[in-house]
Amino acid sequence: MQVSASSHGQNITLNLKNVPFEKFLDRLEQQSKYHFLYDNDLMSKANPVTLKANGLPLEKVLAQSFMNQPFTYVFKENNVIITRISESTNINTPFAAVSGIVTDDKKNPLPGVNVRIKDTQIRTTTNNQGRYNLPDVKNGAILQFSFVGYELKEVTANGQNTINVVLSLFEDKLNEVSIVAVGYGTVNRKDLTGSVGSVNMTDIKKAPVINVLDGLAGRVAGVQVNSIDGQPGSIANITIRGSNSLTQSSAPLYVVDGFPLEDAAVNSINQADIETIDILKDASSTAIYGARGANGVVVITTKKGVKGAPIVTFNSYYGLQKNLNRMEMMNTRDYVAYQLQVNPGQNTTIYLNSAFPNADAYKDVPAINLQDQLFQTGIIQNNDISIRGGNENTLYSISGNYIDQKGIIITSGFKRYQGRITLDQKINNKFKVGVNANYGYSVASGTTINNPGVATGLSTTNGSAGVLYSAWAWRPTLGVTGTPDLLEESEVDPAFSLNSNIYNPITDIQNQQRKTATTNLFVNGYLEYKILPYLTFKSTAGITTNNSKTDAFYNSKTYYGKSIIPGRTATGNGVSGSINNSGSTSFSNENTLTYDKLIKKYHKITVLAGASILQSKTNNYGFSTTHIPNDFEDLGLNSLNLAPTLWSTTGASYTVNAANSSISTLASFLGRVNYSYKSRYLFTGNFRADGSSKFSSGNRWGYFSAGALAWRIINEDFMKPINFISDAKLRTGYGVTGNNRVGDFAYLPALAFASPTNLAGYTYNNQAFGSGAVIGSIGNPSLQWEKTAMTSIGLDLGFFKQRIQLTADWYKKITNDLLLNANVPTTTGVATAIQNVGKMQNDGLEFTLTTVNVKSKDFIWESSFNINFNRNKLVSLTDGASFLTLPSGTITGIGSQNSYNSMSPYISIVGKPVGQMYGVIFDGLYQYSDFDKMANGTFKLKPGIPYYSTAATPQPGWAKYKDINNDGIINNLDWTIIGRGLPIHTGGFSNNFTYKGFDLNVFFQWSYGNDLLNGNRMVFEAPGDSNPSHINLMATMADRWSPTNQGSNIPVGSGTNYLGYNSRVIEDGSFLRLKTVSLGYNLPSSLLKTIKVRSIRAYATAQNLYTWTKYSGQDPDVSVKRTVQSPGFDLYAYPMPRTVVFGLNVTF
Amino acid sequence: MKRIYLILFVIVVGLTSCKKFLDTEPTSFITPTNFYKTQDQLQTALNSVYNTLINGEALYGPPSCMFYKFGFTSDESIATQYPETQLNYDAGNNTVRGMWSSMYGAIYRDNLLLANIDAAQIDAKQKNIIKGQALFLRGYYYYILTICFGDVPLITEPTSSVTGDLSIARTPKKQVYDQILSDMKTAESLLASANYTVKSLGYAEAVTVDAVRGILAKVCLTMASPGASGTPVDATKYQDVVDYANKLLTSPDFALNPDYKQIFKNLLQDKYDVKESIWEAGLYGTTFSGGSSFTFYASIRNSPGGSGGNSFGSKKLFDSYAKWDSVRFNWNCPGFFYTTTPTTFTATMTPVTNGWYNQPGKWRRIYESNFVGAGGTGQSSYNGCNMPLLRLADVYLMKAEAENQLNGPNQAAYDAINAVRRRAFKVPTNTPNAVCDLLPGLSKGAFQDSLKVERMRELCFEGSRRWDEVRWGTYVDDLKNLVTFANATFPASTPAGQSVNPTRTAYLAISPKHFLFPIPNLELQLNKKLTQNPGW
Repeated sequence: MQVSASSHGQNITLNLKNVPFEKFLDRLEQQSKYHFLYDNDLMSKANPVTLKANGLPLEKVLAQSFMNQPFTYVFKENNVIITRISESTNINTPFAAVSGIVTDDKKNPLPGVNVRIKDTQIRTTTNNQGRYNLPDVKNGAILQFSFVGYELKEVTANGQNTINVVLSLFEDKLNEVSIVAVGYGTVNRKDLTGSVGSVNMTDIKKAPVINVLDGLAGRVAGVQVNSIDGQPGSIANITIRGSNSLTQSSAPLYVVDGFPLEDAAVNSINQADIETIDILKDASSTAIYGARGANGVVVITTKKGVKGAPIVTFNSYYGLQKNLNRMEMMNTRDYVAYQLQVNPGQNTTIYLNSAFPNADAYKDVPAINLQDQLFQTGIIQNNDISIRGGNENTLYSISGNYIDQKGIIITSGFKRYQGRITLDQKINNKFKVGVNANYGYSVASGTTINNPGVATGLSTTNGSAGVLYSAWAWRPTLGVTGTPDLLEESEVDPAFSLNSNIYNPITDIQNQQRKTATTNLFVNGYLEYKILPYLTFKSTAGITTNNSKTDAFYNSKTYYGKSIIPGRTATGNGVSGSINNSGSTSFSNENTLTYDKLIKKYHKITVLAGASILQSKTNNYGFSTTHIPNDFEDLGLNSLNLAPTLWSTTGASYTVNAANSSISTLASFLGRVNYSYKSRYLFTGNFRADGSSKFSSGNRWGYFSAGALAWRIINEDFMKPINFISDAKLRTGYGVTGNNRVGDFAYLPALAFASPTNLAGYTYNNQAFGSGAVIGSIGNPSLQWEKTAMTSIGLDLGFFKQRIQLTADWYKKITNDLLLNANVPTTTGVATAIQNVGKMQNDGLEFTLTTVNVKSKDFIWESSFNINFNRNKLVSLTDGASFLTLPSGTITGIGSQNSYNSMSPYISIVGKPVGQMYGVIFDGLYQYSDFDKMANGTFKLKPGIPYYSTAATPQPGWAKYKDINNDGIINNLDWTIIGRGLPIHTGGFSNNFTYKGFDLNVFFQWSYGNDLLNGNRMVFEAPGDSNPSHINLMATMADRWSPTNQGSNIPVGSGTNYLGYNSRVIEDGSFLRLKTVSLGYNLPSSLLKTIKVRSIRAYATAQNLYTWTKYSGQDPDVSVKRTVQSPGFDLYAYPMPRTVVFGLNVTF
Repeated sequence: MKRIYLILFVIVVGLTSCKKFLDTEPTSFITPTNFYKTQDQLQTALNSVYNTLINGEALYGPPSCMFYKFGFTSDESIATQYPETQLNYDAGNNTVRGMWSSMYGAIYRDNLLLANIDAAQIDAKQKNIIKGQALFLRGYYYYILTICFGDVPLITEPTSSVTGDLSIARTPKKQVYDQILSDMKTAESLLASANYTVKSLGYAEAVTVDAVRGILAKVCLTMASPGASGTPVDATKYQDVVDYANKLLTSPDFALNPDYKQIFKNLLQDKYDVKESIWEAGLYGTTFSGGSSFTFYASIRNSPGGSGGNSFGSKKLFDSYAKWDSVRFNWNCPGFFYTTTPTTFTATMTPVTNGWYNQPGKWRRIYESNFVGAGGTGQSSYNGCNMPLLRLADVYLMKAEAENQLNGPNQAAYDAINAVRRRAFKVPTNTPNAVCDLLPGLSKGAFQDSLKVERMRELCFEGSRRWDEVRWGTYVDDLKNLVTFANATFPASTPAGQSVNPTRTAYLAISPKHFLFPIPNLELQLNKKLTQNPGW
């Protein structure tokens, strides 16, 4: 450690005249705490000293007195060593001890800054106070100050003893030290050949989202993030450069600190712990992950310890969440008018009497709206704390997080406790080890709003649409038959039977206990050994376990648990519940050798070779029980063991057990070569061989390779005169990657045995049901990897010292041998089988523009804009198949109309994009002119005008559809494409403003060109149901067609349209959203110094502040029941809240 | 360099252990190669083959395609519950594909069982019993397939691959019948050698040698009948009908139940009468999977446990009963519906007099053992009432028809048909009875006409009529005639007390294409060698 004399504030007062040098040194020793060490031989050559100092600093005194001596000195700890000046040393270029403080723009000292004398090995680092000391700096030498994330600064020493330096952040982003994770290593962005999107973590951390993936939307070109809905704890869908697969997952591979996870336990990672997220998009980048790289790779690197005194950061915010859009239902008057229209006979007596002679009399009667009770103000609070520090040999970090969200629907919420410890230890110059452990425990509570079905094992009752359905459908008034309180508080609307699918949602969910508690432990260790200076061996081993316990309990007041009426068939389950445990454990070991050498000055070669193994085990155990006697329900889940064994009337068992487990393994060899010539011509070649247990032994191994070339045009001589261009690089690459997302044993046929939902057996002599062995899945021994070949070209440009940076990428990828759960002729005995058939194509363009718009002393405005266009095309399917629709039962819950369950509102047609909306085309309403008026006053459709084959004869005001095949009948032969599931372009626009201590982030996100299927309108705006009495509908129904309102496009009432999906409910899903606005204030450092705090930022952030959209539903960023084939479906989605939080970020 | 060698060594060791590392075994399911070893496993495999009889959307399980969805479209009945009951279906129809695929699913499971059974080390007699049932069921499913679809792909080996071109052509009906006969005859000898009879079992859900013989008679009768084309598959088969029928009719194990009504009460109460009801589909439980729903659809309005309420017998059926035939008439054409859902046997009833407004009376849910009035705990729309697949009365009538076709209306033919008529009149079946016996001295044609009507009177609402009419080749004409009859006789206005009307226009769409079902569209797309049936 270097010690600076001046740092001890030692001032010398002396008055000497021709004093022998040794004596002079004695006097100095008395006044300072330094000892002078020297060779007596040297003193014989010393000249006497004449000096007059009055409180001069020690260094000045020394500098002056050594000026004409034949020796010089260095400080070493508390010693000053006097040494001979070598003969070559020019006496005219004397040395000076240089010290100083390195700070950032805001005068905060920077510890750990590298200070080095240029072209020498002499170097030091700044201490915790940002101070450095170099004992002998030659006059004219250049001092280099470098620190990660800051611009390099060079200062020439001119004999002065103090050089204080201010380092500025990479405001101009020259990218020189922008490190990008590429899998099994990192590269400087300037040397990158592939397409890797890096997430601006500073920006993203400003968004108050629980799950870091939610924050990714609109941040990186080519990365599309689709929310499912706003349910706390729900995880968004991420697609990178379009979907490759059709029936299998299109999710990317997540690599967290080098540990690959297909199903990222993302909810257990705290976003405050994340240092970087790099998204590998093209084949040349992802090929290093071979068989699992085709969907893209998200590389997450967490923060580690930093050298220096412990830095403690604390970040806490508290905020409120509010539902932006409640569904507007009809008011009391409109509701009554409607009831009188649909069923005048019965409803007149219910809604009218002398006091209320007509619907208008309800004008001022307040409507009961259960949404009032269902929605609440959500609360979100988050606390992060971390301690990071270390020294030359040891780096450590400890961090913890507690987050608690109370949802905007009662009983829903999310909680997480999370902690992480990292330790990196240098054993010697060659040997380094480290460990990184993360523990997360999260609890998502409340029923899943968009899918209210009972959890595992229990059968659901037909027609139940759940909480939001009941809240919306609940009628606003009882009419003249009862008091409003009765309606508001009863479990069931008195007009309906107990078995009705309308059930008081407030009572229902308040009496349910539903929660999923997830424990995630992730431990990853490494050792690194430098065999030779340019050859490094690294071995990592990690284990991750993930356990989810899902509990559900329904007491006798819930819809599922309500009493079974004596003497009648049980339609409910009675008091019931289930407990389900599912877990997964993965173990991984990876060993790599990295050779990294600069040969003959211009040839930089990096070679990576490695081998890895991965084993994953999954398991699922649970049981569920129905018909628990009501007497025991107060015991909650503990009453599950009190259900009778058998249900007397049927002999069916009350208890359903589930138990299964599986295993898969993956062994791989990988290699990569990076070659760079003069930093102008760059080449990357990747290779990976993967052996996966998911395929039969003959098909196990897959080989994936990719190559990329880049040309850093900016480094060419001819670019030198062009000053305004500061960066120019052309990249191109091609490669093949794979996808193995199939079941662990998809290649084997599996026998399935009778289960409660699949009574595939038979019974004899009225005995108990005999189990049957059916083929659960037929297995396909010739299964192989799905292969994606991708070509990409990219261009990076920088202008005006990087104040403007543009990245443009074009890509085309073709996926062959799709792993497709394809339809097969059922003469095989099965309807579908996993096959390698079909072909999919995606091509697209991505642009990212980063600019520094204004940069003055006090005010900075920077923006980042990205946009991406992706075109998807299904090139082929199974031989002979021209389209694929969703399997029956994928989309359920359209009101009480079970016939919708077997329909597919989506179709993927060969030659067209996947996931297009499918149905009949709405063609306005039947008008009087379409009818002949009969003698008895009824209307009969004129010949030649098409109608629906299975409905009663249409009347004026009914919905009309296009008869595509001109056969005079509207039926399933007239179904066609009615909407576009995928957007034309998506993107984001982020702005950062800084003014003095204030910072403001404004972030917009958009999606353009995609349609949404508004399922709620199918249920609540002229639904297909034919018996709509006592069900409230959307407020828009007030404007329905009537003889006096013939211009309306809303059918005259329920049951007056074709039972099928139709284009009337397809809406433009484009939106522009002001997603995040965050305003912060950094307390001035002058103030902070007095309270010994490094920094304090107080901030307020609003999320989902405003959305511009034509979509009439709750929120356009919705996609319930999402698969590749079914994007943009909206039905009973948990509303996306607006969030406003206030927080404090403190660093000590 | 030493280090490099060390690394190479590690890689080589790694490679050799890789194979082992990648060899994983499934931990929670069983593959067919590990199955079909023990008697229990074989029985479990066999159960799944039986399952197609009772599973939803297949043959007799809800909503009972053979009985109701398609089976009800005959001149004895009219319903509106499903589009299919009004002939509103095409090649895209899910139920048609469901029938096709569930039968081929069962055949695949059956082929797997048959391919593995010989290697199983179990008692030879038990093996024969299982193998006999499996062979018979394969034949039975092909019989159903061919009467529904005509020529069908004939597959007798388990599927070995699901990749590449899976197209397979339709096998001519004649060859399909050859396979059916071969399977069923082998089954007969295997089950006979094991003495696996319905009498010895005491219950009727399993395939016994008796069931095999009775169904063989039916298969042969179908082969010998003219069918849609007027050209039988094999006209010589009438003799086999007589032979197989006689094997049952001459056996002391069988006798007609003296009370026609009791047959159905027994079925509703899950009781066996193996002298009369020889083979039944073992419907079970109260759910869609395995339970039966035909009693729900084909029942009297407001029946306990639920009723579709919109199924009717035709006036043709109503008018077909002679005065002496009051037992069958009153049972099948009840002349009332329940005013409200009864909770006791003394239910209030609304009388029905018009022949078009009669609801099916055969499956009277009030007799179900869990009817509240009988001390039960309540009924569901699904129940465990078995579907009779072979009744002794049917065997008598098959024999009468075959004898008449072979030899004209001889004594044997008369004896057979009269046995059924006498039982209906509750008199001894062997003793001539002037009141109920068929008029003697009829011509061959007249006898056949009487026999057709007799089958309707006896077997109505048992899922037989449509297939009989197809077999005779009269299906299209019979329905057309019913439409004409309806137009002429339908009441101008709804009779008093009625609120649900039968649909007069249900069969307007009838055309010759309805002799066969369409080949499902999706199958045509995926299987290039398939061809569509005429008219679809």
